Amino acid sequence: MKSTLWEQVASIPLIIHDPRRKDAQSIIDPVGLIDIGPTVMDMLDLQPIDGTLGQSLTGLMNGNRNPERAIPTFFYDDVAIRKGRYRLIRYRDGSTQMYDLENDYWQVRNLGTDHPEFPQMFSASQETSTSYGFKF
Amino acid sequence: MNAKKLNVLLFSFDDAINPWPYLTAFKEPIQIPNLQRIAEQSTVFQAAYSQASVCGPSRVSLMTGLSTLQLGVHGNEDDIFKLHDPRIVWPYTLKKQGYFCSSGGKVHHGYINLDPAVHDVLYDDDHKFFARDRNIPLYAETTHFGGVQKGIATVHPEDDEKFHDARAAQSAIDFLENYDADLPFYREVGFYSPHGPFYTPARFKEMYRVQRITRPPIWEESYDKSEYSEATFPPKPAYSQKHQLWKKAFATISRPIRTAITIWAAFGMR
Repeated sequence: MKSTLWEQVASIPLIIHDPRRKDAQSIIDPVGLIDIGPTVMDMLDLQPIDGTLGQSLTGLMNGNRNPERAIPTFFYDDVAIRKGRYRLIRYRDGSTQMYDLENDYWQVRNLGTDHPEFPQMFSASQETSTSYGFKF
Repeated sequence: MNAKKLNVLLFSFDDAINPWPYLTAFKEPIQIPNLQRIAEQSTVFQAAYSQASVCGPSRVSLMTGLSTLQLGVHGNEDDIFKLHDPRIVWPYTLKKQGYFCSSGGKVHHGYINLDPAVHDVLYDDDHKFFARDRNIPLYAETTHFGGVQKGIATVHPEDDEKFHDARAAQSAIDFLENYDADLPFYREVGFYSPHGPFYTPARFKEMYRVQRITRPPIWEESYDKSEYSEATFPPKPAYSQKHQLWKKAFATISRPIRTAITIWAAFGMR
């Protein structure tokens, strides 16, 4: 359902067609819609967008990798990040849900705060939120 | 035309989800052969995320490269063009650099009612208005297949052109076929689908055998509930095992892509 922060809402279709490049390629590293503007600027050889939090996707299109970049999705004071194989949602009441998307794409099993990856995911969520202008 | 300068065509779909994980998830396959054909000649991002889970903030982040919090656009009630100068969106940079900028359909939140003063800053041609699909039953013969919002469908193929997205597509095709200026162009094409009201030509609903659509087995198991999310986002009855109304919304993913492909063809692509 719209406005929730699970994969089924936040993950959207993104295809870039560059007519100079005829081969199909599939990129699994996380990216955001916020990257479209920077990518267009880069492909057209224009100055980067002032203050942008997005990144040009041409590097990934040319074979570079960035699997551990955290990509946030906000709903007012709730925030979720996708990073690596995990998704961490942090609600405004402070509660969290963390999922392993490789084994649990439907996100039915909350890994909980005792999971060994929770601390790094939680600090990545804090850092990303802060850089996007939101402190929790 | 300056060979070094590329033209830019931006398509947006309203409320579309990443289709790739779901093609066979419901047993009856989701049919997007045209999108698959585009994908076979393109770079597909399998893990792309919207920066907000509702439309308005997501679109402003897309069109500015900035965060919803930097912009102060937190929900659909916040209007970027009331809060900021329109020149904050990155297409303005293209205009400034000499690109011919044009748009048709829903790309910015509220495009239908975009303030002419804003429109004229960002685009070089006129604001284009295409009626939304809600009133289609008033001017086309329809039937209904049931399901979410009754699954209303037009009966006659000649009524295809009455849909918002068909008009948006035709406008883009006309643009591409007639554009002959020396400047490179930037053209936006905004589709309303698969956003509700889920009206389609009947053949897109007939593509799916509703009885075969099956809930993934994991849906029948319990899931770890968050007190907060259960209270804030209560499950909708239409999507429950009992009602199964969601199944009838399947057709809405196939149709906009069929419409998009007409533009693809006009662009000289196969």
